[in-house]
Order: sequence, then C-alpha cells, then structure tokens
Amino acid sequence: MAEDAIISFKNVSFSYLQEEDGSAPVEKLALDDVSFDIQRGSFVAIVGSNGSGKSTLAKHMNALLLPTSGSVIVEGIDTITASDEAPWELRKKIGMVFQNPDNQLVSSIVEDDVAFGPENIGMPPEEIRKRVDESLKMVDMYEHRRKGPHLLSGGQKQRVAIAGVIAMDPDCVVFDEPTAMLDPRGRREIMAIIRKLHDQGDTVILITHFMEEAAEADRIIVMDQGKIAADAAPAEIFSKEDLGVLNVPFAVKLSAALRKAGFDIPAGTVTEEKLAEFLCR
Amino acid sequence: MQIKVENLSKTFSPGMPYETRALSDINCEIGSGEFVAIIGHTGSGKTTLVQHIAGLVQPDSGRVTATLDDGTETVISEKGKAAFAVRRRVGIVFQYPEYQLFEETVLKDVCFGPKNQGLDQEAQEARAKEALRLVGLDPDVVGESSPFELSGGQKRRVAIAGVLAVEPELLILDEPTAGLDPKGHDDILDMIDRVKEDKSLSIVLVSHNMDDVAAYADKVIVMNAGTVVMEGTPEYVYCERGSELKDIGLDLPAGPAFLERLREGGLDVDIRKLGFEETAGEIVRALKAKRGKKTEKNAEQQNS
Repeated sequence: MAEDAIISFKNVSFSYLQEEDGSAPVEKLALDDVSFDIQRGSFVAIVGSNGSGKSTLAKHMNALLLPTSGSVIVEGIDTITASDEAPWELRKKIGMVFQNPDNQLVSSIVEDDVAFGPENIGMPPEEIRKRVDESLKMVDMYEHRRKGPHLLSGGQKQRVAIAGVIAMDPDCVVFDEPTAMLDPRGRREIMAIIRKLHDQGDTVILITHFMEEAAEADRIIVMDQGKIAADAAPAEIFSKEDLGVLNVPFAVKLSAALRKAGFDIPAGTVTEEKLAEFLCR
Repeated sequence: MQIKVENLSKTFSPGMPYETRALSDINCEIGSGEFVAIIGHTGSGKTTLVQHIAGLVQPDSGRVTATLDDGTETVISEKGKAAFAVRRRVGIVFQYPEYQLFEETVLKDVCFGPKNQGLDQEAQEARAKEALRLVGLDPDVVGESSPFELSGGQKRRVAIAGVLAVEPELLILDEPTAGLDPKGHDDILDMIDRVKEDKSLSIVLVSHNMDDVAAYADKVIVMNAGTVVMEGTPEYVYCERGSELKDIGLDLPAGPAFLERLREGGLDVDIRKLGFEETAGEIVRALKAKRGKKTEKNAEQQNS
C-alpha cells in the first residue's frame, strides 16, 4: 500500500448467489480481482455501464459489503476486522451518499436528520449543534433547517443527505450517482459541494454516468464486467478512440474538431472551462 | 393523434395550507406524428400537464381535446365512455418505469395491457412480441426470462414495450433515460425516434436534457411556475429566446451554452447555433477572424 493511500483494494473479488426459477442458484461474480489505491485528498471518478460493478465497489469502501476474497484496507485497517470490531469507526471515516435522497432521510425536520449520525455515536450535544449548523451552512441549506424534508426539492434533499454525512466529519466521501435523479440545477449544486469538499482537502470518490462530471476528477477508474478496464487521468481516458459504453465530454469532442480544423488545442483539455479559457486568450 | 389543450387550470389541495396552483391557463398543441418535448424546472408543472393529457387527472377548468387521424374529435378531459375509449389510445411511461414490472416472465408482463383490453391470448402474445421487437429485444431470447434478471436498460425497454403493446397513438415519456449509462441513454432515445416513425406515433417527451431535446424534438414547450412561457422549434426556443430561457434558470444545450461562455470571455461568436457541427464551425470562423485581425495589426505595426 502506498504511504498516502486512504483506501487500498488488494485482489478483491466479490460473488453472490443468484436464485433462478426452479434451478440451483448460480454464482455471479460482481468484482473480479480488483486492485487499486485511492490517494488521500484525491478526487476519483468511477464510471462504467449499468451493472459493471461500480456500486458493489463503493459498498466495499465502508464495509457495507465484505470481499469474498482479497482485502480492502481503509486507513490501515482491514474492513473485515473493522466490521467485526468497530464498523461505526470505519463509517465515520468513509461517508456515503446514494442516488435517491428519499431513501437517506430519516427525520421529519431537516436539522434533526443531520443530527442523526452524530447522536448515534454519542457526540456531546453542544458539539452536535455546532456540527449540524456547520454542515448545513456548507451545503447552503442552513435557512431551511427547520423545514420538513418533504417540502424540499430533490436537489435540496440530496444536499441535506450530504450534510448528514459531513456532520460526521469523514475523511472521505463516496458519492454513488448523487445527481442521477436531479434536474440540471440540482446537479450543479451537488457538483459545487463536491468541488468544495475536494478543495478543503477531503478525499472524494464520485460514481457517475455523466462524463462532464467525471472530467473534473483527478483520475477516472473505468469498470467493465467487474474488472478495472482503465485507470488514468481524464485526459488520457478521453483521448482513446473507442470508449465503449462511455461517451465523450463535449469539450473533448469540440477540441478534436478544432484540432482537425488546424487549431493547436493543448492536449489534456477535457473541461469546457479550460477550453473556453484557451480559446478566449 | 392530435391534442389541443385549452385554458387548462389545476390547483392541488384547494383551501388547504399547502394549496398549490399547479397549472394556470395552459394552451398548447401536439400535432399528429409530432415529437414534442416539455422542459422546465422540477415543480414547473410538466408532469401535471402530461397527466392531464393522458386523462389521469381532471382539470379544474379548461379542456383537452383529442383528434384522431380519421378526424373525430373528443374532449378527453371529461368523464364518459367516449373520452375513456380515446384515453386508452394514449400511452404513458412514468419515471423509472421498471419499478412497475411485476410478472414472472417478460412476455407475461408485456401482455398485461393487451389482456386488459380484452384480447385473447394469441392476440396478446402477438402484440407483446411485436412490442418487444420494437424496443430492440428478441422475444425468443428474453420472453421467458424473469424481468428482474435483466440489466437496467433492458428492464426499461420491457416497461416501455408494455405500454407500446396497447398500441397507443400518442406516447408520453417522463424522463425515460434517467439513471441509464450513456449507451443505454442513446439507445432508448434512438428507439423512441424509430418507433415514432414506424408506428407514426405522436411523442411527448418530458426531459431535463437540453441536448436530447435539441436533437430529437420538432417542438419544445417551456413551462415555468405552472404556465407555458414559450412554444416553438428547438431553434426558436434555444437560439432566438435563449436569454429568456436563462432568465428563468434553465440551461441551454451544450453548443449554445459553450458559445455564450466564449462570448462572455471576449470571443466574437454568434451564439445562435444549435448542433455540434454548427457550433464547431462558428468557433472556427470566429478564431480565424481573430487571427486575421492580429495579423493585420502586426502588419500595420511593421509598416509604421
């Protein structure tokens, strides 16, 4: 394990039994000998088709799932040991945000919901108050703290779910398709929070189908049928001709068209922001 | 099928603390064989409007009229047998339709609609098989599988096939690609466009994805706070009235959005371009013009 790795997968495989009508259960391999390290403070995107193993991978990071073989080491501790001895210690360090905000909110008042995690780990009340307020301000939902979640939009609910995770002060937050059910405004809001978390030094892992979102990461891991198909910087990932089930971000496609027309667009231009900056010079 | 929506209004929970005016005085049309997209923020009334078009909700005032291809007109927003018969010709695919799959096999699931229409088993299966082929699935391969064993994109196709099997003349789809991977996304849209041609259907697509709308729709209806604020071709909505669209907080498709960013950054581009080729072409033109000016300047400096 590299010294500054916060999460390390070593030859991880995960299989489960799937029952089919009448016949004996069949073993399905969801992860097939997966190895990689996540550097502390990095922003990693995980992409791949539906059913490629992305979510299974994510659920191994905080011991919601344990490997069938191989090991997952988080902050130096094997998740199998951690889930036996202190699963909550591990889940405090690695927070997780899922696709559907409705499945993640438990209270009828926003601030109670954010306080749920800290209360569960027995944090002193003053500290809880402070953490809840800070987290809600961080996601820009402080003014809605006394509302019921059912009165909020999808994007606002997702921000409350994120506040609940960051109130635990995690070292790393794993986002599993956090914007899939949101409208464009909701998506922008969530991406702004992800950037903010990364900027303040947290490790961020983002599972997404939106290549424009993945292009903002430091590194992209491409999953295919339970295996890592590619693992590189966005510029390298998107420079390949055949991306399989992925699509090319608009900025990459446009850069290619402009190069063809004779303009010298620097290699590694994968975001619209960078491309616009270059073109307007 | 052609749809005309006139002066449609709807308030939910009237007189209650959470009274919401969902639609106010909506007027719009869906032409026969037309691909119409409805865009707007979450809560702008898109879903409520399509629920009225499908006859699932009764309006407080106003009406929805359907004209069949043989010319018969029926007010479908009213109660009664005639309205019910025509409403059956409107198919609606809700968000995440795969959550509604329930049968043991794919074929049985797709047969559910035709069965309810009173068709005998042979006719049901013929319809179901055709619908599966329309969505790009082979009934001989997937027909006997459990719908729950399929991939996310396949499940969604099965759910759409279930609606197509009742042979609608108008197909309404509410965010049909949400949560799918990029390939699944493109496949579903291409499939919808193909079915529209094959079956000469009218399509209503509710979407947040402006690039899809620009690429597929003949007409765009823009909703904001329960009213229709714009109606026209993608060119009209995104190019002619793009700044108004931005004022209500909606996005432009990738092309014009990027051109606008360039203009704000000082590059002299015309932002009224929609497709990828047009966008790229406009940037090339603007860059060449800029380069030309620079060369002129340099030449002047050398001359003086």
